[in-house]
Amino acid sequence: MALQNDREGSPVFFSLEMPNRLDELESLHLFFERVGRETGWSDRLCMNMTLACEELLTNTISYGFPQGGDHLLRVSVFCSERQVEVVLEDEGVPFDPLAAEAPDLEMALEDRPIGGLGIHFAKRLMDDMAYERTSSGNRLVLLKKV
Amino acid sequence: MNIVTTERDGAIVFSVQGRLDGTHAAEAESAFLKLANEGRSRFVFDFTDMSYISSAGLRVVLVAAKKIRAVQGALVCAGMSEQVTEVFEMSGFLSILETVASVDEAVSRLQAD
Repeated sequence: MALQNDREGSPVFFSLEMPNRLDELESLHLFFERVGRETGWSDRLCMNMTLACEELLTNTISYGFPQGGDHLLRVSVFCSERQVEVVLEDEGVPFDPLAAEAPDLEMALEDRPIGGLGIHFAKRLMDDMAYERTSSGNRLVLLKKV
Repeated sequence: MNIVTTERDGAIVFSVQGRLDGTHAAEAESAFLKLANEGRSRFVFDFTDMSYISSAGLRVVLVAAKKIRAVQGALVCAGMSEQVTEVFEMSGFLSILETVASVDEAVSRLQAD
C-alpha cells in the first residue's frame, strides 16, 4: 500500500520499547506525553496519537503471542512540521489490522457487540495507515497530518 | 483512575476520574457491578474529570448501559470533555446513550423520568 508520506527535512525521532503486557501501557502514555511536550503537540493531537497506538498495541498484546513468552514491542515516532509518523513493530503472529471488518455503529444498544472498536478508532484518527509483514513480524506505519 | 460514588436524589453518581483505559477498565467494571448487584439501577456516569477513554473503557460503559437497560433502570452520562465526546462519537455510542452537560442536569433528568 502506498503512503502519502511527507517525511521532510530531518524529523525529530523518539522511540519506545515496551514488554508485551497490558500493565505496561502506562509507559505508552508517559512516552506520548513526553513526545507531545517536546514537540509542542496540542492536547488533542497527543490524545489521538496515544489512543490510536494504545488500541493497536492492546490488540498485539492480547492476540499477537498465542504461545506466550516475553516479547518487546517497538514504537518509533518521527515528528516533522507537517506530520507525525509512527511505526509499530512486533514479532507476533501475522495480523493485518487494516483487513479487519468495520464494526456496525448503527446497531441498537441491546445488539451492540462488546468490543471490536479499537482498530476502527485507529483508522478514524489517522490520515493514513499501511501494514507490512516483514521477515521478523508485523510492521504498521501510521501517518497523521499536523 | 479513581472512582468516586455519591448518592443524589435516589441516583448513584458514578464519577470516573483520570484515565478509563485498558489498565483500569476491569476495576471500573467491578465497581459498577457491585452497585448493580446491590440493586441500584439509576445512575449518572460523571465524566467531568475523566481525561481519557479507550475502547476498553467504552466497553465498560456499554456493559453497564446494557445491564441498566435490562433491569429497566436509567442512565445519563454527564460532563464529557470535547475529546472524550469525540471518542464516544467515533463509537456510535452518542446515539444510544443519553448525555448532558452537567451532573446537576443529569440528576434532574432522572427525577423527571
